[in-house]
Amino acid sequence: MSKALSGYRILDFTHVQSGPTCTQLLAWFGADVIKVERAGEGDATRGQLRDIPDADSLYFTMLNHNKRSITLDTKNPKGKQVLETLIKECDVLVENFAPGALDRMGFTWERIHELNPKMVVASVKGFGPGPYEHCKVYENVAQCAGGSASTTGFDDGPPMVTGAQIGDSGTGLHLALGILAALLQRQTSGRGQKVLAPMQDAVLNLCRVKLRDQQRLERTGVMKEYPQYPDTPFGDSVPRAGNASGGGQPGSILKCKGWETDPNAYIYFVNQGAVWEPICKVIGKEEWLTDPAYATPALRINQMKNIFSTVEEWTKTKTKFEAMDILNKFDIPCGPILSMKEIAEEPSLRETGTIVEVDHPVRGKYLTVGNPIKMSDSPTEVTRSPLLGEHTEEVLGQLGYSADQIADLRKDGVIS
Amino acid sequence: MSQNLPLAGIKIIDFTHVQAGPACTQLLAWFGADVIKVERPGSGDVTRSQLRDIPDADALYFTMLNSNKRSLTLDTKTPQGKEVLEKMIKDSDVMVENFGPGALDRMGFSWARIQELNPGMILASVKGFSDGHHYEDLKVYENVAQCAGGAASTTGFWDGPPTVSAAALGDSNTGMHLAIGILTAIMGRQKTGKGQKVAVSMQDAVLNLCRVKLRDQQRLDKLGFLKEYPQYPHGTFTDVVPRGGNAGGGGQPGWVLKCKGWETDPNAYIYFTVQDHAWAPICKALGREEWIDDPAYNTPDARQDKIFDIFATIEEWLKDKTKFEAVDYLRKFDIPCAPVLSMKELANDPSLRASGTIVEVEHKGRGDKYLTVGSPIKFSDMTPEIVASPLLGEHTDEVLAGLGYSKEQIAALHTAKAV
Repeated sequence: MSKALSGYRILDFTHVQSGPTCTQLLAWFGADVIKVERAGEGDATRGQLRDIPDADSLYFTMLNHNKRSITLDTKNPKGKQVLETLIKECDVLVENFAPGALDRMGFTWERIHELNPKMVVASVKGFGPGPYEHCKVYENVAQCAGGSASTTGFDDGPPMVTGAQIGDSGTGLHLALGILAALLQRQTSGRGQKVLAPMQDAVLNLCRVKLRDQQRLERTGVMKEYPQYPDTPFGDSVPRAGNASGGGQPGSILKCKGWETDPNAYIYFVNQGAVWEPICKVIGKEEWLTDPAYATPALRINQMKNIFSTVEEWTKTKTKFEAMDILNKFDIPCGPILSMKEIAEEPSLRETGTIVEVDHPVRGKYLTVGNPIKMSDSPTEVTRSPLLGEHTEEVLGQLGYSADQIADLRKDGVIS
Repeated sequence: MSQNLPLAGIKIIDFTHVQAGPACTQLLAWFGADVIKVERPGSGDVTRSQLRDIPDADALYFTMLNSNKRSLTLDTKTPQGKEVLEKMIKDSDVMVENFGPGALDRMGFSWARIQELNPGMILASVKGFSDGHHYEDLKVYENVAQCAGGAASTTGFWDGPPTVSAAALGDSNTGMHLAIGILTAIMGRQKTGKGQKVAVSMQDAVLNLCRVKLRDQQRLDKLGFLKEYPQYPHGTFTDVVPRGGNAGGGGQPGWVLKCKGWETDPNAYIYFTVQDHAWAPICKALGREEWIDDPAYNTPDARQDKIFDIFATIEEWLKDKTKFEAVDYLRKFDIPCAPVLSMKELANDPSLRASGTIVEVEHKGRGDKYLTVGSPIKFSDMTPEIVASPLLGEHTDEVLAGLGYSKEQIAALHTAKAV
């Protein structure tokens, strides 16, 4: 079955996480992604956080499925020539170099546009234009600059980073969105353009509701759904809210049976107004149903700490799955805290293709996160990541280089 | 605005409400799509009235997630309402929904029926869990998705509870995934002429961002420890990826460190990364030149068992510097770091206003301007124009006229309470 992006060719200069997340997704939708790597070591993640000596690490294999790899010395004039040919033949160039690196290689936007006026040049950077635009940015630096750290964690503790890679993978996803939009625009405009996804901005996009809360705070001075209310005063900036739900329905993370030894024996519990009656019955607090202090959602906000600690007395007597089964019967919104081990072993996630087992000629089998975007007419087939330079000859052959020319390039150290 | 926006000419029927779907369709509207938000007459999207800051005016929860859309009120339970929807389906390119499982079918619009009306229609859906998952009937909220998707178990401290993230991994993030799927399906349709279904579940979207944690689970299974986690080398590992506090997580150790004023300012902190090839400049900046050549300090491996002592030394150095002073100084040496910016600081950041990431929007219903997060993605050949969210049903008559209904027919629909 043909895939949605079949026919599109991507010159992939990205490395590490943010760029590769983007290009891997496009490859899954059928684009031909040609990953250009430096001869010798290639993408640094091949050798980082290794679990098997001398084999590509999971850091690489889980972020580079379905791509082709060529090695190229872009400092060598002959390498630059190969690059020029690639630019003419590709639709998109994606990079996440440090600011200015592509320019210094001799490939400014103007030069690329001259070689191929239809090329989309897509970049991940740490910041957009401004005082920090030349700064090097990593995942957690982006989280701190984008508002996530200041609003994550508990208010009696420090700003917290999140295990979800919103700075890297999150930005890569935004870049993919931008690339597709630019390719669509190209169909009417006839020309390419630059697309930029700054990590600070991508993080902030995900923290949209915190900017909402900042404005509410400025106007009214309080936020009733935050755990600070009503006992602790608010400052002038959105505080950290611990595990409160942040939306219309109060929620919290509660201990379940076994929490003393299992760090994930917890459940997320939402005190939804519509199911207040079954909640009281399930936890054995029918008296709250006639207690005027608990009569409405607005009144219950003043009792929230007490309500959650009482519910927790009940959840502590059940495993997280037992608690879920009981609460689900009454449509009480809740969810288990799943550990990575439970997720890795979950059969449903294997069936939907969200977790996929992939075979690798050097490593053997490993698990990866497949494509979370499910399309009925463009199914994703996850194939393994490429070995370093695995497709150099194949790609050069397709670009029109003869066997002799390829041998010469190798002799000159332009390719490995 | 005279620019050919990427999605000019694309018509979207937007059945979504709250956050995940609206975040998606708002972005598509910014890229030029005509997004028609279909709302229930009377109340509309529940976020119009949730977390209100101004009585009787649409809440920021709504206005910040529904820019540039048109609003049509429609009662899809009535036969006339269903007829309007049929006309819209024939006339549109994409339908986006986040109903519970089976709701669209029960409305009389199965996928087969939709395809019959319009073979090119793309049906895009936000789900809590993927189709076929044993929790697929569960109502999923933001934090429930974070807990089911692996984020909560790997966020926070090892001696504290699983912690949710303020970033909307379950809602907005899922919306971004869905937008990617929709654009991909539009491009696919150009080849085949056919639409298709696109679906993203909140659990999967969270898990996609936690990819490196699945990486770490497998490394842990194989090796029994993870060198870059704070548990190494003095603590212990179990058989699941632990919470790592504020650790750097990749190849580079880092932590959130206190700056001057931290006792009273909850965000007087920076993120500091000990990047290997910045080690010498770091030592110089701290006045610890002796560490540059000391084998106990001058490689990443050597530093690992004393990394917290190193962070403590850096924190000592930071005591008399504000987060901005510290970052300005450290940047000179290419040390990857940033201040922990509060929402207030971000709201007032001139660079983010200049780049259009934070935008001031006029809204007639609220009586004054509000701030929103604009498109984080920047294009050299396209600048989205961000305008206010619609009032409830503001475009009902306009949309119906566009579908070919006459003034009398429109009046009849109002009388029948179908719109």
